[in-house]
Amino acid sequence: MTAYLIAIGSIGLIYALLALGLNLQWGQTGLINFGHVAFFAIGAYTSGLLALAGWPLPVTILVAMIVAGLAAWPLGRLTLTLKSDYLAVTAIGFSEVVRSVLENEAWLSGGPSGLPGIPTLFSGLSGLDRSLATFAVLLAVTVAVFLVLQTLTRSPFGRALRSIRDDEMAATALGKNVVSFKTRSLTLGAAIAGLAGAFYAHYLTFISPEQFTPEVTFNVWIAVIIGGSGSNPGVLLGTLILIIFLEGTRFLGDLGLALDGSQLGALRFMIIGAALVLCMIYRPSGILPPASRR
Amino acid sequence: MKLTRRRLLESGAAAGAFAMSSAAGIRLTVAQEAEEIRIGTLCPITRAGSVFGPGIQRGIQFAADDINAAGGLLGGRKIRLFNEDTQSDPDSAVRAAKKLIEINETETLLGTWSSGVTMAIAPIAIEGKVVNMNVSGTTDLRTMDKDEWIWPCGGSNIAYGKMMGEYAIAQGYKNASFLAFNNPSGITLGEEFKKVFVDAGGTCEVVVYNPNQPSYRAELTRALASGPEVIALGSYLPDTTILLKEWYAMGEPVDWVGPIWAVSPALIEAVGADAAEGIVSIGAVPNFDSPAFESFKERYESAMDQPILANPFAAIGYDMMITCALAMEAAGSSKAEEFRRQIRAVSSPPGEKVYTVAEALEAVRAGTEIDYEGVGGNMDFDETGEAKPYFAYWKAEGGTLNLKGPIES
Repeated sequence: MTAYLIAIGSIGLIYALLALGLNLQWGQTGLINFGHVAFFAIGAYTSGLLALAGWPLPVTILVAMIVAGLAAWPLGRLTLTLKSDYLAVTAIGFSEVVRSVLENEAWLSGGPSGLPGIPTLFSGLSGLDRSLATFAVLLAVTVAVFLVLQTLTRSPFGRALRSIRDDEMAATALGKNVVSFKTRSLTLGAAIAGLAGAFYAHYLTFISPEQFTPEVTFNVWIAVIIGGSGSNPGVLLGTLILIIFLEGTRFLGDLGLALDGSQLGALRFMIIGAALVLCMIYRPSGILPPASRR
Repeated sequence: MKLTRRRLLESGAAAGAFAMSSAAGIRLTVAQEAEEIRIGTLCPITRAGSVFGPGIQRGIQFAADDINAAGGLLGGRKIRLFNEDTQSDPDSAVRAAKKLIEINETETLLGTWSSGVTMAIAPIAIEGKVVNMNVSGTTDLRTMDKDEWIWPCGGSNIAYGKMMGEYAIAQGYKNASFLAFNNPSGITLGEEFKKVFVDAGGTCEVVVYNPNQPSYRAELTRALASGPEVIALGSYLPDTTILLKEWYAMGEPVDWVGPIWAVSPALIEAVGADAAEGIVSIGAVPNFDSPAFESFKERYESAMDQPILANPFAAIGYDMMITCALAMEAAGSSKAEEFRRQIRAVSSPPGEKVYTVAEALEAVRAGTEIDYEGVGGNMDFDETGEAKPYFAYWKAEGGTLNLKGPIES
């Protein structure tokens, strides 16, 4: 039981990091990033490959953040000068390009077979101790990221981002360099996604391109939207709810319902879908929207 | 950031209701009879693997029913299955596996499909001291250090490539081309086909193509350039459909042979009877010779409303469960740590060949050395720890795919 909860908690925290990163981009800045999974993948592969090459994990995780952030920078420079919806299309394209590269450049990424045997954090410990230690580190990292983002949100930088989100023209008229602000937001959000990816790689110890489909991006979007775009605590709550939906429905099978396996599988997705629809009907701006949007 | 109590209560309520129903589920499972043997099924019920998953799960269920009907194991202990869906996705499979191991306290995970899924859960199974039997074909599973925890039972890509090569040699072909989809499955099939074919004195060129193209004419032209008598395929249904249509339009005579997942009745339907005429399909078939096969076939076909040949993995699912049960009986323990050492002993030679659950259990209890022969395959694990199914070939004739006969290796 404990080990299962820790496993779900660890995956939940990885999703929370992804959601916090996306919230900075979408919730604060209004950037429609439909390619979030690309930075997650870049982080996972960077850290995984470097760790397999024998680098110490704290370094690989840091490098993963930097590489994911750097990958977002040219994307931002290229697309953010365009009208904002173009980013959505470009980003989803970018994420598919990244996945294609991972699938085809087998010399680098292992191709579709993926990368097995990625070192874990705390490889000196075993079993439950290791999961607990990893979970504790993830929790500390998530809290740290959360606090940094909260501070950022309240800072002049955060205010500038929100002003761009709400009225780009007005922000430009006030002398803000809109493209620069947007690029920094995109880059920072991508670096956080890269951080999440690094932890994901070391947690699962196996990554393959099929784990980095657009579905991941949209799961994170669901977490952000049901939690409350723009609010960091809301986004954390949204992630929690998403994980409860995704995992809680597994226990349907143990309730002894008179359904066979394939019916249960389908029922799970129906319940998840219905719950999300209900959330949106009764809480259209999320469960914990930021104060300004209530 | 202001949080009213009311708002928090409202949002907490939904989450709470979920958590409570989950908790009830946990108590329910823990409160059941303690001496049940808990087995987890981890099949692809939804998405890509959903053509196989429900059938595999049903096969495992039949085996559990048969074992329970025969009086259970280890002095009357019944088998209880816990079913989870991998969603054909490694990430979901990992969480499902953790749930089966931690919450349902199973020490056996049966029925994983697709290489990514099995590769992702393998480290968890090994560390969690859990036996996994799967139908994944990746060659990584052959080479990894499995220490008798992980058992591939569905035939690897190497086995398929080899069988296609053996077929081509038996037909007397001397010059072949191989069109390989650019992924480990396609490339391994191609390499193995070429190896077998060239060793027998033939010549073979492997042409690798990238997925999701609207046309494969360039690759097809390359494959035909050496004037082959046969083109072998390491492919899937969508790309094979395009390849065959383009080839038919070109009008160059050549024979075709491909794996069953690409060359299936769906392919004939997609390209038409004329274009498909004569194409050969190589695939796993159940163990027709087993006395237990006919009754399994009837049960399966009436339960699943699908011919048994449409899902060769279903019968292998049955065999997985029986093999584990026999190993438990032989080891006198349902602990994975102990019974995994008996898996090879009860299912592979040497030993007296046994076919049905009842006779197999009786023989094990009498202390006889047995070699269980399944309804899906013979469950003989080779030195790499892999069991191969039986192979046969089909030929498209007048719009239907007819089973022609076995392929001997």
